[in-house]
Amino acid sequence: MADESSKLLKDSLKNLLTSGEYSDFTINCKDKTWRVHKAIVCPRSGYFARAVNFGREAKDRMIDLLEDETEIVGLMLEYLYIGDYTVPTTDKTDLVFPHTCNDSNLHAFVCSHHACATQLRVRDWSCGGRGCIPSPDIFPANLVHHARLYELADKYQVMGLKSLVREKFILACQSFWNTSKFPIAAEIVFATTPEEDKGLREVVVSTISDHMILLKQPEMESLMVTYNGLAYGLLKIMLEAGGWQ
Amino acid sequence: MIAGRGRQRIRPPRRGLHGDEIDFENTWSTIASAFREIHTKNASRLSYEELYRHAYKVVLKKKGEELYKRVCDFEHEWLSSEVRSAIQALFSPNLSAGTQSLGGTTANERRVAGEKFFKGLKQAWGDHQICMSMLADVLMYMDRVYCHDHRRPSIYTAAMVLFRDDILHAPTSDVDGKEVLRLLNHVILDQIQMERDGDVIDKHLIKSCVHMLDSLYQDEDEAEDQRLYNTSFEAAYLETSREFYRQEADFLLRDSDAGAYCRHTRRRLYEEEERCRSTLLDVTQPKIQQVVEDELIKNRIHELVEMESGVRFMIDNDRLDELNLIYDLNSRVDDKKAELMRAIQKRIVELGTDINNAAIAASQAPVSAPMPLEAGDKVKAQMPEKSLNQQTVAAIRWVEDVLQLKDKFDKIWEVSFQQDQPLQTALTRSFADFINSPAFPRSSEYISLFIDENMKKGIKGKTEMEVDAVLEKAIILLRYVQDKDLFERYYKKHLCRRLLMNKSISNDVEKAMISKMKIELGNNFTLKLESMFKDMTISEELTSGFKKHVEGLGDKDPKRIELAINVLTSMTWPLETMGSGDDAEGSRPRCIYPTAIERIKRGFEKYYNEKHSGRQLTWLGNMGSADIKAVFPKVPQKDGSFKERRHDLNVSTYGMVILLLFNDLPADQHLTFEEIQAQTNIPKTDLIRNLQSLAVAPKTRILIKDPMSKDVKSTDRFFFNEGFIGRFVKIKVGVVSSGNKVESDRERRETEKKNDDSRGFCIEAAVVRIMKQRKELSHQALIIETLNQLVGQFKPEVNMIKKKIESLIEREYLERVEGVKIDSYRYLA
Repeated sequence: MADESSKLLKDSLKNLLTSGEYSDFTINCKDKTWRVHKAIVCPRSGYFARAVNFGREAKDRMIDLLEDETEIVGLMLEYLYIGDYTVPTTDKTDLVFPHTCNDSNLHAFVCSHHACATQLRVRDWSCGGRGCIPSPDIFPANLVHHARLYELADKYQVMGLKSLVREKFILACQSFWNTSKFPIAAEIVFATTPEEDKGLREVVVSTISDHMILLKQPEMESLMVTYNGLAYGLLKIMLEAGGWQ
Repeated sequence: MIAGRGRQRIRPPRRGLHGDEIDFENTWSTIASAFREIHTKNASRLSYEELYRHAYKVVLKKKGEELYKRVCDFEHEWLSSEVRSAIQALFSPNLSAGTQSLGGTTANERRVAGEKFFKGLKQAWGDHQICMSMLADVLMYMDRVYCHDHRRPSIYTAAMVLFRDDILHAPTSDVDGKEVLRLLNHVILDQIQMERDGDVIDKHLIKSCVHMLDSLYQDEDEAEDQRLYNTSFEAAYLETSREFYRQEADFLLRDSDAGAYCRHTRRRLYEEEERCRSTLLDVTQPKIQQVVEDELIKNRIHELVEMESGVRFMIDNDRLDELNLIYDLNSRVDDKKAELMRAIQKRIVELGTDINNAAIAASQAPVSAPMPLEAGDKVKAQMPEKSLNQQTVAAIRWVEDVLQLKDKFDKIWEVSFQQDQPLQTALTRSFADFINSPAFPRSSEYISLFIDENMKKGIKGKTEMEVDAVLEKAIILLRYVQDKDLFERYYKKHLCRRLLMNKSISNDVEKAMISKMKIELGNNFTLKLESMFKDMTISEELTSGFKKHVEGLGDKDPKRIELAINVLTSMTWPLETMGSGDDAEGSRPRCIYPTAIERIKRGFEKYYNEKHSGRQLTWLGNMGSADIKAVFPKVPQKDGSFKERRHDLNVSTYGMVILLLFNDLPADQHLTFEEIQAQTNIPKTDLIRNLQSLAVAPKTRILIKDPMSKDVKSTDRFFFNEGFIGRFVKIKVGVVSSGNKVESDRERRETEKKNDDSRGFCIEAAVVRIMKQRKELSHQALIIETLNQLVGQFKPEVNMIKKKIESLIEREYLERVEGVKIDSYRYLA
C-alpha cells in the first residue's frame, strides 16, 4: 500500500510539472517554459525562494534563466517535483555493446549496463547477482548531464540534489570512464563549482587513479595542466596508496 | 520525456571558462547601481536572475573577497552620507533639553521632538533592514561560499554592524560630540520618566527603537549579553530608575501614609512590569522589579513598618487590606518577613501587656485603698469579699480580652497574611510571651476561673454548640500556658469546690471539658481530675446505700437526721486548699459534734468500714452544709403580730454545730465566743467566719452579738435572736468566701510554694528516670533532657534542677564522675 500511495503521489507531482496546473510562477529558459508552483519549488531551493519575492521576478511572476541549458533545468525541476531525475535516452551513439549479464550463469560478469549495488565493485558475480541492479543511466553522455546538473544544484542551492547527482555520477564513471564523455564531464566539474566543493571532484580524481591509462589521452593532459587541483588530488591519492614506493 | 529532438545540446564546456576574465569593474558597477536603486526604493524593475548571476559569477571566479569589500564600502558610504544626514536633521535643541536642564522647554515639546527622533531612527533602521535583506538575497551565493569558507560574517550581519558604527556611534554634532546612541537612550529614558509622571507616550514607537538596540551587538562576537540594549540602554535605565525610586521613596515616606505607600509601590511594580511588556523588553522585567523592590521595599521596609500610620496603626484600626499589602510587599523581598513579624510581635506583646496590666489594676485598686493598716487579718474577712469579687470579674475580663485579642490577630492572619505559616508561629510565640510573662503570674488561675465561672453560670441556657465554643476558647488559651502544673492545681481546686458545693450546672459539660484537656494535655494531666468524678459517683452510691441501711434498721425516728456524704480520696483532692488555710499549726483539730450528729457519724463510719476495711475517714466539718428546721418562739413583732415562725435554714456544718448549742440554752442566756470555741473545737478562723454570717450579716442574723460590731472578738457574747424575721421560709446562710475567687497575694504565694514543692518532686523523678536509663550523662545533657521531659507540664528553672541534682547526690542516687573534663554524673543503683 505504501509503495502504491507514494507512487501515486509521485505521479501527481510529476503531472503538476508537465501540465502546469495550479501554477503561480513561470520559469523560462531559452525557448522552454515551465509553469511551476512556488509551494514546491521555493522550499527546496534557496534561489527560487528569494527570486519569487524580488523586484521584476516578483512583479512578473516569472524568471528567465538566461544562461542555463534547457535540458538541465528540466532535470532540476524534475528533481524538485519528484525527488529523482532520469536522463533521457536519445543519444544512442555511445551504446556500443550489448548486455552481457543475465540470469544465466554462463556470463559471470556484470556488464556495463548494470551496476553493482554493493559498492564493492565486484564484477565476478560472486554475489550471485543479488547486488546487481540495472543502471538507469546507461549512456556515456549522462556523465555530462550529471556534471551540469551538479553545477545548477550548487548555483541554485537545491536541497539534496548534489548528493543524488554524486551517487549517479559514481555509477556512471564506473561504466563510462573510458568514453569520450568522461574528460568533458571532468572539465565541467572543475570549471563550474567553487574549489571548495569536493563532491564530484573526488569522484573524478578517484576514477582517474583507478584507471591511470586515462592520463595518456590528450584531453586529460590539457585538464591536468589547467586544473592544478585535479593534478594535485591525483598525486595525493597515489601517494596515500603507496603506488610510488 | 523532456528532450527529444535530434542531438543533445550538451556542448563541451566553453574553453577557458575559468580562464576568461570577467570584467569585474563592469559587473560591480551593474550591481552597485542596482543597490542604489534598492536603497532608493526603486527595486521593482531589477532582475534577480541577472543580479544573482553576476554575483554568482564573481564569486565563482574567486572574486568573492573583492565583492564583499565593495559591498561593505558601498554601505558605509551610503550610511554615513545619506542616512546620517537624514538623522542629523532630526536633532533639535528640544531633544536634549532634559540633559542640560534648560528651562523653557516643556515636557510636551520634548516629547514631540523625541517622537520625531524616534520616528526618523525607526524609519532609517527599518529601511536599512529591508535593503540589507534584499542585498543579502542577491548576494546569497557569496554568503554561502565566500563568507562561509572564509569565516566572514554574513553580509547582512556586516551591514548591521555598519549601521551601529556609522549611525548610532556617530556624534550628534561636531561640537557636543555625544553619540546618537547616548542621545537615543537619553530620550527614551526621558519619555519613560514622562510616563511615570502621568503623561501618555507612544510606547509602540519606543518599542521599535528598543528592538533595534536589541538586534545590534556591542562587539563582533554577538554574545547574548552583548546586545546594545543590554550594554547601553538597560544599564542606564536601571540606574536612573534606581535613583528615581530612591527619591520617590523619600518623598512618599515623608508625605503620605503607609497604606498609600503600599498601594503606590504595588502600582509601581505593576507599571514597571507592564512597561517591560509594552515599551521595553521582557528580559528587563526581573531586573527592574529587583530595583523597585530594593528601593521601595527592601531599603524602606523598616521605616514603612515603623511609620505612624504603619503596622501598629493598621493593627489598631483593623486595616486588613493594608496589612495584606505590607505582607505582600515584605514577602517579595524577605521570605521570613522579618520586619512585619517583628512589628506584629511587638504589638501583640504591647496589647497583651496592656490587658495584663488592666487586670492587675482592676484587682488591686479596691484592696489597697480603703483598708486601714492595723485592721489586719480580721478585717479581711468582710472587706475583701467585695474586692475578691471584683478580682474575679477582672480575671474573667482578662480571659475575654485575651481571646478577643486572639480573634483579632487570627483574623489578620487569615485575611491579611494569607495564612502564612511562619507568621502563625510568631503570633503564637508572642501570645505565649505575654501570657507567661513573669510580670503577670496569674494566667493559669485566671483561665481556670474563667472555666469555673462558665461552669457555674456562663453556660446556662446555651446550646451545645455555644458551650463547646466556650470550652474551646479556654483550651486555646491553655495551649499558651507554660506552667501547666500550676493550672492543674488551680483547676483541681476550683473543680473541687464546684463538685462539693454542687455548683456545676452540667456534669456532662464538666466531662466534656476534661476530655478536651485530655486531648490537649495528655492522659496524665486529667487522671486525677477524672478520679475526682469517680469519687463523686461512688459517694452518691454510698449515700443512698447508707440511707437504705438506716431504713433497714427499723426504728422510724421522725427526728432522724439524713446524711448525704462525699468520701474523697485524700491524695486526689486538693483538700488543703479547701480549708480555711489558717491552720498552719498542724493537724486539723477535731470538731466536737452534737450527740445526734455524732451518732449518725459513727453509724456511717461503721457502715463504711464494713464495706472497705482499713480505710480511715477524716471528717471535714468545714466543707459540709446542713438543712435545719428552726422554730422561732412567739414574741411580739414590730408589726404587732404574735405568732410562731418556722424557717428552713441552710447553714454550713459548723454553723449547724454552733446553732445546736443554742437549742439547749435558755432564751435569755448567752454564750461567749470562747465558750463556743471550747464546746465545739471549731478552728478559730472558721468560727469567726461562721459567727459573722450568723450574727453580723443583716439578713441572716439568727444570733445576736454583743457588742454589735462587724468584728468578732473573743470576748463577744452571743444570744439566740428570738425576734428573727425572715421574709422567706427558706433561708440560706452564706459563709464568707465559699466561692471560687481570685486568690489573695498571700494565698498565691502559698499556692506557688506548694507548686514549687511538687515541681521539685517532678524534677527529681525526671532526673532519676533519665539517669537510670542512661547511667552516665554530662551535666549539660542532663539539664536539657530534663527540660525536654517536663516541657508538657512546666518550664523548670535551671537553678532548681541544679539544686535537685545536688540533693540527689547527697542522698546517693547519683555521684559525680571524677576526673573528666565535662561535669558528668553517674547513676547509683
